[in-house]
Amino acid sequence: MTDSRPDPVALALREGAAHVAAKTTTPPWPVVAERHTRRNRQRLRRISLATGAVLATAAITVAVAALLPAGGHRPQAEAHRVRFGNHILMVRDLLAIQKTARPVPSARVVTRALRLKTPNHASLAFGAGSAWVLSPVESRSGPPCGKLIRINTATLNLTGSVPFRLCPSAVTYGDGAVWVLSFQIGVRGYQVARVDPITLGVTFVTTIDQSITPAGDTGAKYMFLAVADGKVFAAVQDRLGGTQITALDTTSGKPVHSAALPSTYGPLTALAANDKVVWAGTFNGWVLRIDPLTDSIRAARHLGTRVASLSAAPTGIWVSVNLPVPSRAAYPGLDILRLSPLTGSLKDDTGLPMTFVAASGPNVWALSSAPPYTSDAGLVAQINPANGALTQKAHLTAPTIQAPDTIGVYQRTVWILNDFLGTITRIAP
Amino acid sequence: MRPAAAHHSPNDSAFEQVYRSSYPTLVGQLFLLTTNRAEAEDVVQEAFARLWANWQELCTYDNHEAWVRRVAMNLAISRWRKQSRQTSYEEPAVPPAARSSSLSDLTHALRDVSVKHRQALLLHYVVGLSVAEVASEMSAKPGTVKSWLSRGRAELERQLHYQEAAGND
Repeated sequence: MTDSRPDPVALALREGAAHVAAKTTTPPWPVVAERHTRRNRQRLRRISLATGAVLATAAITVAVAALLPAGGHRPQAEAHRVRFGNHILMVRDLLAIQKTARPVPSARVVTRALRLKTPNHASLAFGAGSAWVLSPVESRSGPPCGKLIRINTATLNLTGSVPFRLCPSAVTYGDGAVWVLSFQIGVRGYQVARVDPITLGVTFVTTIDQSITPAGDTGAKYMFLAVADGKVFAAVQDRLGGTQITALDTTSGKPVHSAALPSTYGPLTALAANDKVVWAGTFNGWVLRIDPLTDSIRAARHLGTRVASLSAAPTGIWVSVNLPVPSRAAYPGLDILRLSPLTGSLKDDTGLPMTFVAASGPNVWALSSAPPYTSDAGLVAQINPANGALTQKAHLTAPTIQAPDTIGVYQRTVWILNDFLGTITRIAP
Repeated sequence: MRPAAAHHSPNDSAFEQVYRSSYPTLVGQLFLLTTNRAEAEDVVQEAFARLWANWQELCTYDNHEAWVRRVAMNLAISRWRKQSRQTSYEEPAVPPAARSSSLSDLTHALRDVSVKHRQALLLHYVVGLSVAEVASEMSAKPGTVKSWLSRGRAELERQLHYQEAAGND
């Protein structure tokens, strides 16, 4: 026997549904179509709002990055903020940064003892397949005071030298010749000599700034040469502590024009040229853009308390500067900056506390040196010009106070002079 | 994307026919799931809007009502989940006088039955699907559906009896 009574639960559910269905008025069907259209419109609005929000966020991010002083800072775990003038610069932890840099194989680091005793970091130049180095002659019996040495860049062999009666203090290469600036304490004026890179013959010698008589040790420190626009520029310190820049025609050797830079900038600590513009760094932390036609200053930017080195390359004007940091700061007052090669404006703050920087084409290298610039002395590292990161490194061991202090880049090789130890090192990564 | 139709085509007429014949039934069925008439109408309309948006592809389907019901149920459950995440909602206590109608009793009885059980009861007892079909519709095993039906039925029966007893007091 089966239970013929209807299922009360099923019945209640069916009746409930039927009751609601019977009471339901079906809206005209275009209402549904409109609903569909409205939904699409809302969806499009949501998408456009979301897109707008994403674009706005991106625009704000780009704007903030562009408006940040010093061209923005890359994310960094250890960085110390240093304010200088209108710039906020960052000094990063060099020991931490360099961990990611690839060590250059030791076989590619070659050091030769050539008994070099270079007086300053303007003593190294490259051209005609050779490295050109200045070295004093250890003689007490009179001239010569120093010599220009030619070193084969492939073999590191010494292939010739040119003695100078006065003490050679700066060397550069340009317009197919080696240029040497020399002086003698107590002897009026400075001499600029043109040396043929093949024969090593001195083509001509021009005496400049005869109104100045170098005196004392300071006279040897602030002398530089640079070649641009068919002229060789010789910078020397004048009697008042300012700088005298004289331009000589590279063909005739005759002075073309001369100008004195105001002493407020301080003596020059670096000089470089890129094609048509001469760049100078000064003891008081200024970077000057000098018009080679007139020797006049076209732009002056105050970037630190002292410019330690400066190098001009297509990737930018690379400058290492000292920054004011508290006397007990656990980080050095050093930073490497990249400036616009056109205007000299600050483009990038690498945050690398390294003493000297040198660039040639796309290759940029930096050197950490001895006190008072202590920051991992002896570290030589390649800088990626695009982001300021260190890509390769090598350590040139030396007692701290005898760390190397001169760096130069020639094609893809980097050269380091240690005038304490009298060595030259070629790193060919 | 299909624009709102300004002109009737034979295709559109087919949609209208499905819509007119199924709309009240589906609202009634969804009411059992949502226990709220406005909510039931809303999810059914939304499901029809989606059918309309995809009508070019779906017009060849055999059972449009089933498609709309499934979409509407998913919408209802999705909204219920969203609501239960956002607020801890408690049904207001309804005075016995207000429970006079059998629909109201059913509504309140259904609210004490879990949503899964409600859905299974609806599909099996109202729509008339077999246990296997309900299992397929709800992506569950037939045994599980049987369990849901049994428990849901027991809960609903208990609630309805309780309310009947309360109404007689």
